Amino acid sequence: MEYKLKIEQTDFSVEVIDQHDRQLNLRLGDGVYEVEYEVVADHWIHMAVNVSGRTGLVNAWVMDGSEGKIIVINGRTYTVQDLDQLTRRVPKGRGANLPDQITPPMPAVVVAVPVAEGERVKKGQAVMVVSAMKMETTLCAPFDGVVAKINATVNDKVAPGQILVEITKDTDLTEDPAGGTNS
Amino acid sequence: MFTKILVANRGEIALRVMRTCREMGIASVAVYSDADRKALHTLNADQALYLGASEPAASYLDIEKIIQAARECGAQAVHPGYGFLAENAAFAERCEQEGLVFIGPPSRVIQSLGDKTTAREIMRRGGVPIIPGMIKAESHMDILTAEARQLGYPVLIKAAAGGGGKGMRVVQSETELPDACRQAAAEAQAAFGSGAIYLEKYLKRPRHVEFQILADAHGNVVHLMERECSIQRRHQKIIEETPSPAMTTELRESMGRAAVEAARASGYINAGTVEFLLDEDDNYYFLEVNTRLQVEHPITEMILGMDLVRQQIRIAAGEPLGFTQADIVSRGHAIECRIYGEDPENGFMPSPGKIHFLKEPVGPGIRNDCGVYSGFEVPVEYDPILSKLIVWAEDRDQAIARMRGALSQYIILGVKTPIAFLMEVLASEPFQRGETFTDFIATHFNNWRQPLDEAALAALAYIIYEMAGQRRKKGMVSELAEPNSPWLQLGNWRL
Amino acid sequence: MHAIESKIDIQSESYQQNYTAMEALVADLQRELTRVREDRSQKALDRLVESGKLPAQKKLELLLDKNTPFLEIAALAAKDMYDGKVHGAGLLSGIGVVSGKEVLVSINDATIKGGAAYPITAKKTLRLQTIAMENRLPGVSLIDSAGAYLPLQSQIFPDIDGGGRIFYNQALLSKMGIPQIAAVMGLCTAGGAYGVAMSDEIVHVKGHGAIFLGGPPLVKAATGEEVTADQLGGPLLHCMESGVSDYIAEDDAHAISIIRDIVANLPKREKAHLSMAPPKPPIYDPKELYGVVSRDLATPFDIREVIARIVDGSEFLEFKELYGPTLVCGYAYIHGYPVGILGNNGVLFNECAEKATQFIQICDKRKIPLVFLQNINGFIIGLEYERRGITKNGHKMVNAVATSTVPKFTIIVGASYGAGNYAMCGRSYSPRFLYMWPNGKIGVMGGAEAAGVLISITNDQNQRLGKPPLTPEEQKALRDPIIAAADKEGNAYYSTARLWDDGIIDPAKTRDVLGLSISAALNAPIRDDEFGYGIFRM
Repeated sequence: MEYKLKIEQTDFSVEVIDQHDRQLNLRLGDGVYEVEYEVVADHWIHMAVNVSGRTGLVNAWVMDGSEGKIIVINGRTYTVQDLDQLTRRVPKGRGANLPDQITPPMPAVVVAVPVAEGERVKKGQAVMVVSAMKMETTLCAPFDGVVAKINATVNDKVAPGQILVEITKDTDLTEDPAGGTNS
Repeated sequence: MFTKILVANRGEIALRVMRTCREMGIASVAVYSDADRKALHTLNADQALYLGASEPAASYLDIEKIIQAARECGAQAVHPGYGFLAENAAFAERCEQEGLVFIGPPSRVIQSLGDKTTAREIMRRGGVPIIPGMIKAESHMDILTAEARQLGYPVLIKAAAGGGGKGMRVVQSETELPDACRQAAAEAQAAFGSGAIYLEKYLKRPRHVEFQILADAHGNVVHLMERECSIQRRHQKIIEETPSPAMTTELRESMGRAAVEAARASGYINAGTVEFLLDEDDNYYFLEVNTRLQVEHPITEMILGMDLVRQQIRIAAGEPLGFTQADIVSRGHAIECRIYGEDPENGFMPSPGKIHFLKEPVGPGIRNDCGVYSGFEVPVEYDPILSKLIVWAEDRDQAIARMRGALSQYIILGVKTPIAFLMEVLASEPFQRGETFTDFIATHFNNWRQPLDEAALAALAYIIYEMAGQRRKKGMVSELAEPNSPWLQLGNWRL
Repeated sequence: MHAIESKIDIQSESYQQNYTAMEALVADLQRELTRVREDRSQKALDRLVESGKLPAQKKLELLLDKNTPFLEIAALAAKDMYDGKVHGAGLLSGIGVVSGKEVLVSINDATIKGGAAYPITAKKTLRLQTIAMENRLPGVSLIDSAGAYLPLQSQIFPDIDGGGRIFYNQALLSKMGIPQIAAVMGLCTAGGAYGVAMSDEIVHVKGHGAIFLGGPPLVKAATGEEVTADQLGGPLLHCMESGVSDYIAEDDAHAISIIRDIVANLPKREKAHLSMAPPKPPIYDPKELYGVVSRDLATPFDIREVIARIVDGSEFLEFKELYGPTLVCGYAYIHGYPVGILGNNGVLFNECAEKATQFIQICDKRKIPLVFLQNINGFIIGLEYERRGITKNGHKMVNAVATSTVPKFTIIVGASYGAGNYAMCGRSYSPRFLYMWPNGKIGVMGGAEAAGVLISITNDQNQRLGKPPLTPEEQKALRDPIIAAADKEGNAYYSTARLWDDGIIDPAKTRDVLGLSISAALNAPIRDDEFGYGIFRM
């Protein structure tokens, strides 16, 4: 079992090599820690820590806090967080999986083409508006780039899978020395 | 002697006063607000009376409510502690009107010493050295500018009506002066209800040295030696000690005499503290008189073996001191550390919250005046002082060692505290050499960060606690029905 | 209830010898479990790293709530079968806690034969589904399987317990309202595609997850069409167009976090309610079981000494102690759960069977789970017992075991021979879980007895034919292979490799294994009715 812990601003990776009753062997960085411990009382742990031949006795006081555990050793207070639990809480951003191709969601009629070939577009900018079932849908650029080709005009009937606007992604372009001057 | 005293305060100081009352066979009455229903002072008094809502104005600062409480419980005297109404002349006066003994100086003394410019004038006439500066508060910018020029920069702007660092500004040059005055006046207005300010010569690298005095109603005045309180953050003391490392016998005699003079000049009765600034050339200047029991009074008690609260009560009851200056003999060295609920890594901002676990240090020469307990929620409404840790030892080095040991045994879980910070201050070379000036923290501990020496051990402790510590009953969903389910009990179990 | 008073002398020589013998067996077991987890070819490990996939153990770690137990099921399946390298039948599976719920987990290990399904893999999967159904446990499958191992396809394909049964069961599980969540973490072809598609919800990993009935090589062979795996069955296709998949994940870890969310969101189920007691450990150290159990199964040991090291506080209320004493029955608690225990102290006599029948009826009525501790050579035989109707008595016990509806759990702590295996709730009697100790032996009878029977029959035959009886040499020639075969095939590892049990366990962990198993079993309601009869005094 591996713990990825964050203490103040530093990350620690701790691997539990071995565990027995009141005994733990852990790998932390280059060191192997052999620890015998006793849970003395609520909040209170006593540890005999052996690392690279040196042994020390340590009292630690622990509390479950809202942002991890609060641990006091030698008068110093440490906030320790489990990165796995932290990342579990962080939701992945929506929209990351949007398709890269501009195609209508259902058979539709083109009602507007607000961009022209060669035009620079920003991610999320409307590049085509289609209408179907009395609803208009705006199709947007999936990334920053330049409109390479427009495959439909107003009143065209279009279907899913048909690529309506082709956009060359910015990273695909060789660096444009004049880039940015038009802004 | 009184048979019942109302303690018009809260927290550790209320408990401190009540302790002496009990020893003297006097019943003590606590008052409390909503936030303090389960505070230690409420729980430990002989009688506890409810004042009102948590905000101070509706409870601990409400003079009429406290007078009413005192009448209701039949107390003969009121002890105001420190802070809140302790230096409020109006409150002392109301007590006098009601025939209640205010355990502190007469209201007119509080009145005159409370106004700093008046106090300076009294001192000047009594021959006590004062910091070069203005006698009267001033609002006219031209006059302030001229005064500043005469004093020579840097100058210090101070609020006439206040203390605690509010309304204070150090000004380095004339261009900064107008803005600084405006800000200081506004701050003073907000804090004390009066925007009056005055200017003083700003002393470089001074020490804060104060003398405890006792004066009875029969004209006897003694001083109880000094306390050095130079280690301050946000203009508030955090470490105090006595004797001062800068003190010599001659200097103590001279300053002590000045302190006694100051008390006589103001007609002082009861316990008080005369504060001085002491510069590197052993020049000292009168700063102000605190007309109350100081937060840091215990260190004086430790080296003298004297109970100051008992003395206060005796004096208030009209008893004579019964001893003279010659009887005052000190022994050893005492240090106090103030343990606030505050974050030393973030400008000592208050850190209120629930105390989940508290283990107080114990041992010979260790005293902890504590106002909280495990499970207590530190209210946001009041000064977040948790306790004052005081040690006594035979000399300064031993006292420092003892304090460091005591701090390292002091476990408080749930709120941030300056314990690690204090340990480092005590361990630092300048402190150990006694080079304690009021700019100590700014000079040596600016933007302090806690060292991470035990981070690896903390990681181990984390994992052990996960595996073997208290099982969390929340979080682990209740669907596992019984908290005793082996799924919750066995930890990282494998075949 | 009172604690059992142990009569074991832990200083005695026989205790020490037993202890040493069992300790060696447990060390073997731990070594085997480690091998199952770690014995992989470097090539397979390299390929895993290249593909950006996580190892199966890591997936398990991420999936489970941290620092909670994992009750692995059939860890040693397929041991010594095939080429001896199909560890755990290529499937890491068991019961663990995910987002606070008990969940049946099954993870393909792509570093074992590319996650290919062998016949025993199908058998293990079916066993897991049975566990899911009987205990109503939600299932999470992390799928990365190359599909059926084609050289052995005939053994896996068509029969009632073949691969098709898996999908059939999935449909039934779904109908029963038992959630099944799958993550596509590799190629899922043909059967693999159904295995995924039959799930309630599917999380599809970008990059290496793909679902299709026929993979690119088959498509090319059949129609000449050339497509990549991602085009043919990648997440964009299935999440946007086909609707086969429901969630899209950036990588394995993301998929697992989505699954944890899905499981967290599953509706809460009331577990079956038992009258619990506060759990407490046995007063005797469970490790002493090593010394309690005879190193030679022919030497009897008192099953109460075993019970004393399994149950809470070692407390036991013995039922009908003086009647049919070779079967010990009584009440106890394990991790706070009430249990009725039946443990063998010798051959089953007529009275034992009747006592068992009565006790099982009581526990069934009172909804007390049953725990069978098997160390049984069989029912008594002989004229006297036949005259008293041993078959009739045995029938009652078998009937009661089979038809009682409380959860049943069986641990084979020693021998498991003959009809005794049946009557003491062997595999065929569907205990919710069945575990073996490493010293356990299974067979119709012991090897020596079987050889004896065979020699006796042969001699009878010889006599009829006028031939001389077998010489000692001939007897030996007959006896040795039978004993060898019985030893091999009656061995715990032989059993566990073939899914005759749910795993071999360290005797010292028996209490924990039972506690976790009982808790898991309580996810299914215990029938609540007033039909049937009262309890018959036998």
